[in-house]
Amino acid sequence: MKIDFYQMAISEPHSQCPDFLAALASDEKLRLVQQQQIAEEDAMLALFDSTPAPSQTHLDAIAAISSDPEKKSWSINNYLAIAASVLVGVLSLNFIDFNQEQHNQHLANHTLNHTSHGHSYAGVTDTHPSLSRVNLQLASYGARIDDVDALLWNKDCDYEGITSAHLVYQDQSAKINVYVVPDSYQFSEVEKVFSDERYQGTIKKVNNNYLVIVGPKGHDLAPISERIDNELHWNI
Amino acid sequence: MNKESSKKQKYESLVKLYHGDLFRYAYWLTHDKQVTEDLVQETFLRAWRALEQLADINAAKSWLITILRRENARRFERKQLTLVDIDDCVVLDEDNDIEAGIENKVLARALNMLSNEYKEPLMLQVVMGFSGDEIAKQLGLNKNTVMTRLFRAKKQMAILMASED
Repeated sequence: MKIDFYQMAISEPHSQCPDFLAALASDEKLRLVQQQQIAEEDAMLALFDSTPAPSQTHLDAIAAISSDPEKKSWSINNYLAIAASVLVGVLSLNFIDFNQEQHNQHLANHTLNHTSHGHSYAGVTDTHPSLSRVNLQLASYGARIDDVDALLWNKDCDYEGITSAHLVYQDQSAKINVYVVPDSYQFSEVEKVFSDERYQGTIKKVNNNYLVIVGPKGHDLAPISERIDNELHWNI
Repeated sequence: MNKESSKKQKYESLVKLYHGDLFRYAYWLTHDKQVTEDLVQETFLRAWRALEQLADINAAKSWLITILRRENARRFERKQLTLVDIDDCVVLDEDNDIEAGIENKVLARALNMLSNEYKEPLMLQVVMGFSGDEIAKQLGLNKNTVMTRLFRAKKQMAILMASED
């Protein structure tokens, strides 16, 4: 009978079968096998997390399915062709004064959506950017940073019609998303403190930008906010 | 809320909750980012079209995986046999997109050496978090077979990884 539990410790170490849990409680060797297996699966999970990030075109296509599903049966190549045509069209119309009604008007909701959207890859792949790379990105927002020790990831994002600098910091065990959003986007609502069922955040107006910090619900954002305040310089 | 906007909201929550897992699962099935993107996109398109059939939102993960596995199988049905030069083949662990450490490379190599009958239940368990019963249902196998395959998969992984040391 005991041998079955040893097999179970390997094949299904998270099993909640009462007999297995009782066996674990009374057999230290079995517990060690189970813990070793769990550690191996955690390592495997980290491997799966190194999957390349999906392209923005793919994410946009997935998001647009509920608006216009027929278009989405096309492959990415069709989208690239369309994108090229649109680009030509936009370039030829560059004197038209587009207003920005297309972007999400609610800054807190936008950053919550953006954080959920990037959950599977932001701060997971392509990590630990160099200081010069981050400062090159921040320069267009009139900012620079002193230190990238706690910085996991950075990207210029175009999400929900809003271009922003997206940085991910490691703060203890939590990943903290930081967005620098130009205030030239006219938001109808900007809440200083906000949250949903998974995340919470703060918004601060700095020079011509909004600095938005979003972390897991319940995580104390004060220390990382203070760190960012100290390390991020404006008006360069 | 009207029917259409309720459907849209349901779809958006599915994307939010499961896109990452489906993408990872598909990538490790196909080893190709472009194919993965097409496969996941097709999965969500079919999910959107058939969303009314999803009566229980708690069953969404299994439902999406079923669609994705079916789509992947279709890919092989459609696939024409083409001959390529061996030098053109890219081995997964040499993919520039995966900036993993040596340990990850060893793990990836071991995982890719597993046959599909062992690799798939292992991925369903580790990536998707399915229980033995759920994997059995998903793969149309009995639970004992799944448990045996998981056990052997993990033993093989351990042997393959030890041989890399």
